[in-house]
Amino acid sequence: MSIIFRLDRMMADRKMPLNELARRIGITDANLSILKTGKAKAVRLSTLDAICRELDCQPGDLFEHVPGPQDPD
Amino acid sequence: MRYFGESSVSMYAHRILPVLWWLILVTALFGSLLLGVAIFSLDLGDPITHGVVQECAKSAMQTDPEWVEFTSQPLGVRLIVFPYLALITTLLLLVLGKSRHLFGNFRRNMVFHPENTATLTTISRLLIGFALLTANFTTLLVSLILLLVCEILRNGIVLQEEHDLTV
Repeated sequence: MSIIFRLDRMMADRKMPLNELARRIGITDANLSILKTGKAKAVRLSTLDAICRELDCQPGDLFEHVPGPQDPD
Repeated sequence: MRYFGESSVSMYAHRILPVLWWLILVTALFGSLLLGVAIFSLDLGDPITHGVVQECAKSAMQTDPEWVEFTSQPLGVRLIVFPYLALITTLLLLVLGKSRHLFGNFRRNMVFHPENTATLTTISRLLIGFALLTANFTTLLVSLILLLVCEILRNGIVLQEEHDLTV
């Protein structure tokens, strides 16, 4: 997939460990790990809202689009 | 009533099916043996079993005209019944074996699993073969419905995977 979730970078910038963020946004470590490693197929708006609130960032700061071979451009 | 997990319908089915499997196997083997004795005794005139077979045939004649028709056929035609029965029994045993595997997965709470779709598809195909061999329209209809259920389950697995990977 061409969408990359930059959660690891944002967490590193804020020195926030995975388990701490998971606890704060109310999801399991395993689910946050799925999100962090890019295995997730979808992100709930409520989860995104909680991540943005805890990391004090915008949704656009978390996502990056990297054109892949299947992209039109 | 629970359908999946321990102390559920699946658990009881998982336990009962092997018993049924062996019962059908033993019955089929015993039945083939009896049928073989009946078929060959009529032709060979075995002095030991011929009397018994004649008695059986006489009582069968009174109740089942198909048996009379069957025994009047030449030996070569009558012997076709063995591969036919063997095929039906094999299909039935395979269906039961696959069903046991399926119920085992349900017992372990593995419902939306790709393996189950493959198993259910195989069961449906085996049942279609069984229905065609035995000319049973009801089984054929059930098998076709089961194939549709497989497709629904396949879609369910995709949805489950999507749900699991939605954070």
